[in-house]
Amino acid sequence: MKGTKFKIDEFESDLIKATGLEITVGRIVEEEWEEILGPTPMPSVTDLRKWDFALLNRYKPMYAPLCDLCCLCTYGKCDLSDGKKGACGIDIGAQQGRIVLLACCIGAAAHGGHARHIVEHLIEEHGDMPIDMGKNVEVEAPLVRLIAGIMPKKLSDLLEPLEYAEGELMHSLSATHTGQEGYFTDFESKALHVSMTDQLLMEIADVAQISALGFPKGDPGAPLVDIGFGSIDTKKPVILCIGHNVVPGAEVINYLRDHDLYDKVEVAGICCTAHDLTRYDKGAKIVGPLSKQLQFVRTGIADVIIVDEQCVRADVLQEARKTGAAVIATNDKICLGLPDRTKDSPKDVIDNLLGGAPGALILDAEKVGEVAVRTAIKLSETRKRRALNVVKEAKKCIQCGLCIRECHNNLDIPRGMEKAAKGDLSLLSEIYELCIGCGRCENVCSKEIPIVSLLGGAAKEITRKERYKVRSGRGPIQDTEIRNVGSPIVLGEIPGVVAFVGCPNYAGSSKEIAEMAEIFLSRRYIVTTSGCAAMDIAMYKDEEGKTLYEKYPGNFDAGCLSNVGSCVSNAHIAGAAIKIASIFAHRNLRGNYEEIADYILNRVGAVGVAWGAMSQKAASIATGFNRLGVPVILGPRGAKYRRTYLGRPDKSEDWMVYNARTGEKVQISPSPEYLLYVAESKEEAIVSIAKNCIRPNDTTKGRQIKLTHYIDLHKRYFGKMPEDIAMYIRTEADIPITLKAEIMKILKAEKWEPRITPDPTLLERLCRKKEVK
Amino acid sequence: MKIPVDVSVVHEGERIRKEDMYVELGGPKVSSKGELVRVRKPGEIRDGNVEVEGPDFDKLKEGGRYPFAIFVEVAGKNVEEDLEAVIERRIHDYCNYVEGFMHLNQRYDIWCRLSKKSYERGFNTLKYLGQALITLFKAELPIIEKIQVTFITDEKKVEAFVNDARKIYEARDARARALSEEEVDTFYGCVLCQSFAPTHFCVITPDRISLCGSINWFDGRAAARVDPKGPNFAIPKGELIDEVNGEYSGVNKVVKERSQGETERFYLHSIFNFPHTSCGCFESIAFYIPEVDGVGVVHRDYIGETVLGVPFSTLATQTGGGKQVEGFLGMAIEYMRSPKFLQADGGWNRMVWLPKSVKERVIDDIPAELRDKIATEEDATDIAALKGFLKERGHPVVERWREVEAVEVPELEVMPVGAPGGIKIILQNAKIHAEKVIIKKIK
Amino acid sequence: MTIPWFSANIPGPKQARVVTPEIAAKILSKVGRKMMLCGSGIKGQKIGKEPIQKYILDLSKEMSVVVAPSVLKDFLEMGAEPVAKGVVEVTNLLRDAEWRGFDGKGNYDMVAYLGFPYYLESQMLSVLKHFSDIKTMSLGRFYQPNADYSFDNLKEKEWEKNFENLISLLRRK
Repeated sequence: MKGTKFKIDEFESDLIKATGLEITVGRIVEEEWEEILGPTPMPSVTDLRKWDFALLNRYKPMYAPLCDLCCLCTYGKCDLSDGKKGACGIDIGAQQGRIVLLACCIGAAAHGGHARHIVEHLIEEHGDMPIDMGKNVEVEAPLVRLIAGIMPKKLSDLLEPLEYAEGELMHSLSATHTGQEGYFTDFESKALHVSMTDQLLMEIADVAQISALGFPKGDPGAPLVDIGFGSIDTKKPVILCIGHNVVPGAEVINYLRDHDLYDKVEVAGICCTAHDLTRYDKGAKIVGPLSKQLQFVRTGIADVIIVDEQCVRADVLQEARKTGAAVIATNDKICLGLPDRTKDSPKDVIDNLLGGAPGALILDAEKVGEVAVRTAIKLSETRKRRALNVVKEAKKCIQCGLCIRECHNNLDIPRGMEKAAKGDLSLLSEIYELCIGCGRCENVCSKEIPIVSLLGGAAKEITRKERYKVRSGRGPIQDTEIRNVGSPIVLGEIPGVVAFVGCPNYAGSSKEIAEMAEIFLSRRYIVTTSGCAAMDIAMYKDEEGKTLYEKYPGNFDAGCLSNVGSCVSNAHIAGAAIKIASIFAHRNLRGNYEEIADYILNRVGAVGVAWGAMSQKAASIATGFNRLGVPVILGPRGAKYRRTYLGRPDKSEDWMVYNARTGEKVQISPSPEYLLYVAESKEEAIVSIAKNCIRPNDTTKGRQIKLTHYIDLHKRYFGKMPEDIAMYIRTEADIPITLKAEIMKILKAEKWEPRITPDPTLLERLCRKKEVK
Repeated sequence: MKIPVDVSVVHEGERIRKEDMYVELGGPKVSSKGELVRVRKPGEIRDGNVEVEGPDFDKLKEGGRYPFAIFVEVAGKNVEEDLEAVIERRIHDYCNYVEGFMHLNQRYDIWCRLSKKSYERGFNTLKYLGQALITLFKAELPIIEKIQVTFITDEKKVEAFVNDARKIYEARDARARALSEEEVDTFYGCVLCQSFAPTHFCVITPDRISLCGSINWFDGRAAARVDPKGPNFAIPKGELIDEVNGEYSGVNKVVKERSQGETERFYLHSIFNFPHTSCGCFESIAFYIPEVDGVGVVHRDYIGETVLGVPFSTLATQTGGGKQVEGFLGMAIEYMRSPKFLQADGGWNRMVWLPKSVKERVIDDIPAELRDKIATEEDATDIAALKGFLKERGHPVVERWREVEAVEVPELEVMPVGAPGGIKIILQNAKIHAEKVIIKKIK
Repeated sequence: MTIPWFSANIPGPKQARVVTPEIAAKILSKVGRKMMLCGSGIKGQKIGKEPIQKYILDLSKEMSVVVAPSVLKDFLEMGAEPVAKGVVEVTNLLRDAEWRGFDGKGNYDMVAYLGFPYYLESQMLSVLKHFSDIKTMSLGRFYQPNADYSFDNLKEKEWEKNFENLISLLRRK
């Protein structure tokens, strides 16, 4: 019920007498949820500021401006170097906080737009369906419960938290306006805030699509599906979906099913849409992550390219034009200047596309399904895929070297060209492996050589064989899986949880992420993944020809690799951390963000790794995890986000917590050491991951195994025992038994003293008065 | 003698495939194999000594499978025979710490492999393995003052060894079964879970294993011996306050301390009044079913819905986090084998429903006359069907229904799952405007 | 004005002064407390026929040397044990004026960066440019505008010569 107003003219009871009393109620909701409402349901921008400041006090932001200027208003440009302030009064530190906030707002807005569209669309198409996350998932939407304080039962229940998040986004974004917020910690607090709502928005989107579209519901045995250029049957018409919103692609599959064409057309995807297509239908193919976009479009394999939203190349239309593929834009976020054909008959649109129109905007998913299929079938009959003469093109190269200066990875394209001109394509093919597919090299080429196509052409033999398996996105983690790992974690059998997430903007080989994942899988960490990272993990085989998904089960358990799904499925990783608090400690989730984040920071040994983070979404995802108390490690490119959150292990005063048992402040090990760190190399990241799984609550057995891995990896990659080891030993029982003699010697030399293991919290209000009668 | 391979926990998960193995020791294709720990008098042990009886690695043919026994003898002031089983289980862990050495199973069922790689790196004698075991035992269990290890690969000798060992396993099991709360004066506490559930702790007695199923009384005893201030500690059981419920003064004292004052008393063997608290990693949950006045049990791996129409995951949310919740009890499956299993509530006589797979696991411990009276998911998936089943089979709880009809029993405060009890209206951000509020004193 | 190696990496009006080895040596020799940070890029790098690590060790007699942990092994094999720490972590320490340095004698006056991914080094230089009083120098092959002083964009051979020259000038004095 909405907008109820009632008036009581006269009312009298034993206690109160009232006359002319008017009560207006925004909404009346029936509620079965017994849980007590926590202090911050749907928190405003400032409600959790205290928690943010507690985090920022320990993990002080380090800013690395990418630009010394501010160009956001007509006062500017303003030069903020050398301590100068802008015309509006802002300094360089606040300006960085502001840009970070802006990035987080953009990221949250992308997920929010996605969530808004998908929830409304699904309600419209499928009715107000119940929310169903499958068996053994009791807490259906942990972030909605935690942040919004509601327990959603049906799709329409998601509208309220969605509206809330949209409102917070507006307030947060407004703070970036000239003459609004002025201090860096408050910009950071808002960035943390809007990124928290980003997590909420991701969860809303994924919960809705899992419920309504029949995606796997927390299924560890979700099907293994095909990924890689080579998995696509090029003899069939090919429809390529790029982006993040599965709706149009799903309609393509529906059309194929309904018209007995299912086996006659290939449906493939790039980026998260691809993940979600396989969740919708395991027969869909994944071309690969974002980095393969330009490469794959250039191959001309796709007859029709459907773009939905997020992470689509802005020049997809021009690129498609080169191959004769038709582009269908399907979402209000990406219209590409195309004519709106939503209301036109499918036949007209198809004829138009077959007649050479570059594309069409169709904002009706069902119609997209029909147009895409019929166009692809026709186009595939007439369209010729042009072969590229790599050697001939390479001969045009004059070795000016401009391309290498544009290349993120400093790849030696000129030498590759030189060799290719002589018929040796090996170096270009090697470069292909390291290329992130941005295409910047081509923009500067003085001879207009299609360098990206040449790389693809040189590696053609390899790419045609690129056929791997990835486990389709399983969605949430089951409550019972979390219960299962409780005992092995406290008994020191599982050292931690590592989540490999994010984009493929790698500084080195894309294989690095699979290598890292396998290191932690073989050491029996719980490994989980999502998005483009989950795809790159698949694109690597061991000597037996198996991918990690074939080698390691899809459970949330020691030595298991669980792919939760697309970008929006990242919410389930946060959800798993949250559920630990509700399952083991029976902490209330409802509107109780601060307490849960404090629990996670101090107890849940989980680390996120976004090795190729590129987008603003990745910025908000990482920042959202940070507010929840989960540290994130970025690849070297992450330095361009301009901000890290770094602890100072050398300052013991920064590492104090309350011991909730006694209320006293006590010293802890500097753990997690960072909230947001940038690692220069794979090796540095690996050791850092192991170290950042340490938490102040670790049992001695838990600490032993965490330290064993930290020390072992440190010795393996850096050649020696870590120098900070004494900081992590609280009592002798923390010392890994196989290293006892070696470590005792160090402790003695450093005059080490034992410490207690507290019941750790940063929140004084959670301290219990010890009452022993 | 420096061990030529790495010894560390990081190798624990390592599996050695057939193609990579140098030799296999024990395993399903060999009839005789086994391992045993015995406690000796200090004088009977040559500390640090490793013997190999029969051919060593370098004398074994590559790719072959051989009989194998591991015999560990220990001595120490605080090492008693009761701890042999606990020490013995460490053999498995420690063997797996050795890079390129795999150990599976226990007792007369062991299955080991040495990798080609480790052999090539110079791991060519069992003496290295013995050395690793000795170092690790002493590092982790400093109560072991003296230790010697004997490996046997000679077929005849292994056979004889295993025959003797079987008798010892049997005697040990008989002793463990016979041991009860009455016979000991010390229980053990476990606060490992407090890292996640700060107010929960487990009381472990000979009749009650930890609710995760990982730590029994012997484990607790061993751990408390090694590190009395560690997460497993002795609880002097004190006076027996209530025999039926299993209430002890010593336990209550520690409950108050260790639950940070959250909980005052524990009934060790009841689901009612003051049940034991739970963390979150309990293997199974016992739940009261008011409609039949009986108790059901469901375990974590059971995927379907219980007789209450909700799955394990829903029931499990009713307890946990160190909260004392009447009518719900997190517990280990092994506890169902205890002679004191929920004895205050009627034990098996009160048990009305459990998943088939659990029933099969504990069938020998269910009194014979009750075995076909307890329903599983195959017999009943809702309360009505359960009632019918119990009545038809003549389950002892049916008697209680009549009693209920005759005598008014005090109502138990048990929250029914999924059924709302009335409504509650909460006014959120309501703006109430009253022109005038007059507070009058009542005469 | 020199164009940054990544041509779009123009931070603003304040950009590094391009230095020759001679000037660089002069500047460095005048500075009190100085440190050189070596990144993962030095792996396999040679100056002529010698591994660059040898030169760096030579230099460690003149200034503190901190290496990326991923290249520490190379130094350990040569019998040296320089401080090893991630560049982000070290830069974070450096920006704190109160930090006592790795030797406890106080923060540094000048820091030279060598062998990091271009963009990562650029960002770390940016930290110190805006949030510290420390002077910075980039000794890599590519011009880094965010430093106070930087080598120009150089061809491989030119840079080797430059670097060798710089070391010998520093060692001579």
